Amino acid sequence: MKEEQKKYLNSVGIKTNALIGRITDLLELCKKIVGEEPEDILIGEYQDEDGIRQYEYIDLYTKSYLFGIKDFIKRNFFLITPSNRRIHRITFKAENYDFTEATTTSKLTVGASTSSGDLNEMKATGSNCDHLLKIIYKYYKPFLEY
Amino acid sequence: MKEYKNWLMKEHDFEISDKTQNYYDLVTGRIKEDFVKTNFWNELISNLHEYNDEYLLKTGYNLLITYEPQIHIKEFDSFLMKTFRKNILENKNWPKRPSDGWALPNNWYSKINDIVRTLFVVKYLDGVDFFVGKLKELSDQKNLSCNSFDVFFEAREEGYYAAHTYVSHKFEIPKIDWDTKKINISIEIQITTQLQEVIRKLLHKYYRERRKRYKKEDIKWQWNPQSDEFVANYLGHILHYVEGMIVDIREKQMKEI
Repeated sequence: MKEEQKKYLNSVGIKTNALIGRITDLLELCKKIVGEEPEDILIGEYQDEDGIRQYEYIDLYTKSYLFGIKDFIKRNFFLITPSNRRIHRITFKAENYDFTEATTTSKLTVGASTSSGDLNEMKATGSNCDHLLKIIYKYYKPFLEY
Repeated sequence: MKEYKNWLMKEHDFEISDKTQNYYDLVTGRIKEDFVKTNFWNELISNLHEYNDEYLLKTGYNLLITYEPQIHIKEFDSFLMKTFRKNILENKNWPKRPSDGWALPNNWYSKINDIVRTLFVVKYLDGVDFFVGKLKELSDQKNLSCNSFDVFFEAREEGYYAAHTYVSHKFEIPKIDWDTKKINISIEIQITTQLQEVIRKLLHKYYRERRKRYKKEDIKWQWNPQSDEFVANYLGHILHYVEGMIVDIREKQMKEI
């Protein structure tokens, strides 16, 4: 796992050996299946009524693919899509977020739909909102096509 | 309790007075202060998130309700009541000494194992056993100076369910003459479930009064639906059953996934 990936995981509250180990295994799985090293990670999460982060999914971005695992804590159920797929529309829903710098109460939900009708909904809270925005700019916006 | 105090004076030449309580407060305050500085306690607290995430990976659910357990000291009256139960009520050899000896001022800080205690609340029933396993692992680590580790999975007739673990360490406590001595003292770490904890809080006052009673009731509570015990005790049992069902459903859901 790269140092900046570990730093990102720490920033979303993933710090224990147990969870870092789990994600390391998933990075290895991704590399084994698609044959490329994951460059970026996105943890999709929300905060529950007690303010505790609940992790929903993990997206691993390689040079050519998006390797997504829903419910990654419990399952090995993943899907692979090419990263250069045509994106038809990107929608943003923000709360307490100015798209410049997130605060602890910021929330961001981004929906990216492809021309074939597939929708990828991504959620982030706190500082993860800034990270999600970077992911959108790098892996979704360049592929927006009419 | 007046008769017990008289018995202590007559048989063991020991007078319970304000001085006894003041000394108790001094010793127990010192034990608590020193316990929170032990490597064992600090390692336990710093490992809580790790334990939670290991359980999360195993079951898909969080283990703990809170990461900031409180440490409590047994009140002097409760402590004295416990020595009374040990020496008299539960003493099968009465009027001779109990098989493990009298609990008296020269040894009662070592004999009474829950003078200082803490409580961890887990979300699910299987979390209790999981957390006990972690405590055992921790107590086995040589650098944490645990002299012993014991666990009792309490399943009482009164519907009380919890794991009581005891870790013993050597503590230096003040003597009456202001010198100090090192003795082995057990710290009680209780682990119970979220639902059992709710019941405990609701019925705490009732449990405390019941412990003070030492006269056996004429009718067994199980045959006395009008008694306070009937509702309270069966509530504890029902909740334990429900918690078992919750774990069962959770496991079945995991298999379906």
